[in-house]
Amino acid sequence: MEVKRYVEVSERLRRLLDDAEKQAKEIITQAEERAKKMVADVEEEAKNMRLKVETGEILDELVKDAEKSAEDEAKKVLEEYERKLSTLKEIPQERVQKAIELILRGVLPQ
Amino acid sequence: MSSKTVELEAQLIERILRRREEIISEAEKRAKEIIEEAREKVRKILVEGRETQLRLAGTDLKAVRDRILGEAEQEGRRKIMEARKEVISRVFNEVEDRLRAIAEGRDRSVNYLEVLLKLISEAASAVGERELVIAANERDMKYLTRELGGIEGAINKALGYDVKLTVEEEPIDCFGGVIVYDHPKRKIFYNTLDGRLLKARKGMEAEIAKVLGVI
Repeated sequence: MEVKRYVEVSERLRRLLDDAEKQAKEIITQAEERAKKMVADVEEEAKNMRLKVETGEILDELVKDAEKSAEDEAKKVLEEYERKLSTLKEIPQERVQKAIELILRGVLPQ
Repeated sequence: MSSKTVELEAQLIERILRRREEIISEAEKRAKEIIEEAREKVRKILVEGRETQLRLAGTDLKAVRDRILGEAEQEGRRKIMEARKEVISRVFNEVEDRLRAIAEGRDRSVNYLEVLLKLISEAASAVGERELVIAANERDMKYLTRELGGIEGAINKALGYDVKLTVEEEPIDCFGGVIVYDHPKRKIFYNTLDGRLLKARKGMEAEIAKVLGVI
């Protein structure tokens, strides 16, 4: 009697493990399929990206991006020049006096 | 069924259930890894795609970048040049004010009459004739006419030979200095302070910029 019950329980447990294995395989298969699709989609997108440049379709967009980035850089360039300008406007008085004396020596006969 | 058998059976069921959970959990973990690997690959492909686009459109994009940055550089340099010019102009304007003050006798740090004599002497030497005409502004003209004898003596001494000076009756428009010429006006030497300042400005700008530290 006990042996029969043992066999039944063992059988149920083995099926339980088999189901789990099947479920695990299914989870991995689904993930692999999803991954495959993700990569295939993006490969297609990359192909289109290349095509769009080659046909000139995306050039305007790229040019706009390049303009935006260059304008940001240009702003920094101008800021640097503004910094130089502010130092130009703050010349020490002794330098100005030295320059005046130098010119006067050049203009007045010695 | 003995209690020991029941206990063993319960332990077996528990072990199997734990194993089942482990199998599912490992599969989920692996699935996550697969998706993450795919996401990484997607990111790489997109970056490469963008790089390919930029490479293919490179010449156009470089032209855009060069144009915008070139304009900014040009504008910046223009502003610097203007500011530098303004600073130098301010200095030369101050010099002009000083020269006017010297010529008008408001600035006594320089003896203008000595300056005037030197200017005449320099001009007379350059013209190299024995009979010379001196032209000056109205104020200096009056002084020169009044003191002509003394001035002629001083010039003769400075030159080492005698010259005959006359003063032009028509004043010239300048803030100081003289124009000296021979009677037929074949040889003319401009030695006004205005002219000398202008010449200095042309010749000394770089030097002045250096002194001011605006190079």
